Amino acid sequence: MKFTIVVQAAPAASQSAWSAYQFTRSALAAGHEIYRVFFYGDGVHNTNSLSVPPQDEFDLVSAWTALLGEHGIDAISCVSSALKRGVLDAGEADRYERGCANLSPAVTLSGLGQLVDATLVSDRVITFGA
Amino acid sequence: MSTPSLHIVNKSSLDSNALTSCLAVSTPGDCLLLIEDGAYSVLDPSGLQTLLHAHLEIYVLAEDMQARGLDAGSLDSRLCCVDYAGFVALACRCARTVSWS
Amino acid sequence: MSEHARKTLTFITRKAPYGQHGAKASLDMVLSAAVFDQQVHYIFMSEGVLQLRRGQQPGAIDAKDLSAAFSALPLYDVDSIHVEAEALQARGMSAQDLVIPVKVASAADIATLIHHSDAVFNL
Repeated sequence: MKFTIVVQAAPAASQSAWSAYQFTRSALAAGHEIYRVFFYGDGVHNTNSLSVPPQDEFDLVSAWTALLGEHGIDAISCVSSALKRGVLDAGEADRYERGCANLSPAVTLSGLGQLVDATLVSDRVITFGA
Repeated sequence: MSTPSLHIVNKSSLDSNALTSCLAVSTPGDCLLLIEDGAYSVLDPSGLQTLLHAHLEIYVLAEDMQARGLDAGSLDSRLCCVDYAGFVALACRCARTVSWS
Repeated sequence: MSEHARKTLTFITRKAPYGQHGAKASLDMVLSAAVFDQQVHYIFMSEGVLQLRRGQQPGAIDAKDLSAAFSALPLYDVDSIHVEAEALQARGMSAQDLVIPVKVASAADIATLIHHSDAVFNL
């Protein structure tokens, strides 16, 4: 099966982002394809590489970066959600003179059209953390 | 051709109307999976009764039960405990997922 | 642009506007899907019906008027807009209290729409 995973919850706000991560891992372990992971709304906080969780807590941002990178998964943070929440790539940091880029290296910024495209191409779409 | 939905509910029936809304618009033969705080719904006797009358296949996610000190062994026999591998299998078997929060 | 067969995408929204921020996220997704020329159903359930309530003045809280944005839906050919009957009734509202024309839908109507969708987003 070809899955698209939609993540709408921030890692520090609820369990849902972790559930999405665990589902993604399990789908890969079962031999399925993850066509795209799309971070939307507060979900873009999962792609903020400046976050510093406490030492004794699970570092979900790093875990996502590792998982997405290891499997070469196409991962997108919605650009308008990201800008609003201060998650920027180098281009946007320059454009808005924000001084620093913090988007996870495993993720690119793009629009909602990528989510619609993923929905059309995938066999299953699953959303976590509405 | 049967095209059941997998409804995924992540809030307790004691805390939110997510489960009630879900049941109102489910179709007999659909699957329902309780995840995250949705697992606490097993502690709600009247909520459970409503759930069991809805002609759905009801599942609860094992990892979320374990985290919350909910004993899978004492689940009503009409509920089924699945792990994340089972969650993925359900998502494949059903035609679409609907997440309720 | 994808060359895949046209799909039926259903968007359910259950959150009131202003106090929480999910409402606009739903609308943005609906408009994106419509731009891709997909069959779109937009369903307002529970507190979500309040997004369509007439007479909103969000300037009072420095917020944008979400209800005004719904008038754009016909321009995007989104005409399958459903409001949960029971949610309206529970709030002492009727279709006359809403800013756009809608189909008032029973729970069974909504169940049918979901059952015949390729993907469902419930934000």
